[in-house]
Amino acid sequence: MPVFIKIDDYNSVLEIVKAVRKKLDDAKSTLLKINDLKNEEDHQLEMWQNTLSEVEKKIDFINHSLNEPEQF
Amino acid sequence: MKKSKKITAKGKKLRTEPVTSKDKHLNFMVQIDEPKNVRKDILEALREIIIFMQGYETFLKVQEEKLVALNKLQADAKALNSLIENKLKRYLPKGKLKGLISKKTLPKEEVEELPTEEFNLPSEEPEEPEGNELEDLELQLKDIEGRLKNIK
Repeated sequence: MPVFIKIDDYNSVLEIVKAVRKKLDDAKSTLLKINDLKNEEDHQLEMWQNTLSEVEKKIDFINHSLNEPEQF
Repeated sequence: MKKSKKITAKGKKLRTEPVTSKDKHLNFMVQIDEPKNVRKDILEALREIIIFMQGYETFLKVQEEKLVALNKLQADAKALNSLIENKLKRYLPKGKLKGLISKKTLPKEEVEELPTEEFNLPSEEPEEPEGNELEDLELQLKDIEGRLKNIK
């Protein structure tokens, strides 16, 4: 059995649904941006980790060179 | 003068004495096997630390951007909630279907003939505590599933 509703209400609901869809799209794009930023952060952290281990290696080498000179 | 007295008086303790200023001036040499590499490593380590510090600045910027984006997301979520709760819900039937469930025992034809406006009527029963919301939802779900079966 069909249901009849007022055209005004129908239009209002359509407009609200449109607005909701727009907001959802906005939220989705914002979430994507946050994800990108998070990936960037992760990448930066990884780079830091690599840099620190490189520096650590170099300092170890320097330390080794200074503290353990060639034995005669 | 005092030092010399101590040294002569304590005999063997001479070896445990801290390095005196005279010893400090002795020019011992330490051989470094690969001086170029040591220098290179020091410079490279410095360079990498500077890059690290630059990365920190970038990281801060990224975090600020992320904070702004998170705030925007929160605002979007609030706006969505407001749209659905305050505007859309006014036009849609209310979720409390308890009244309908009791009427479900009526013959099928009578249930179908019920006007849709009845859904909008507030339930006469007092509001139940939040703990029963889950049960309500389950009931609603069952009701919806039943309706879907009827439609099929």
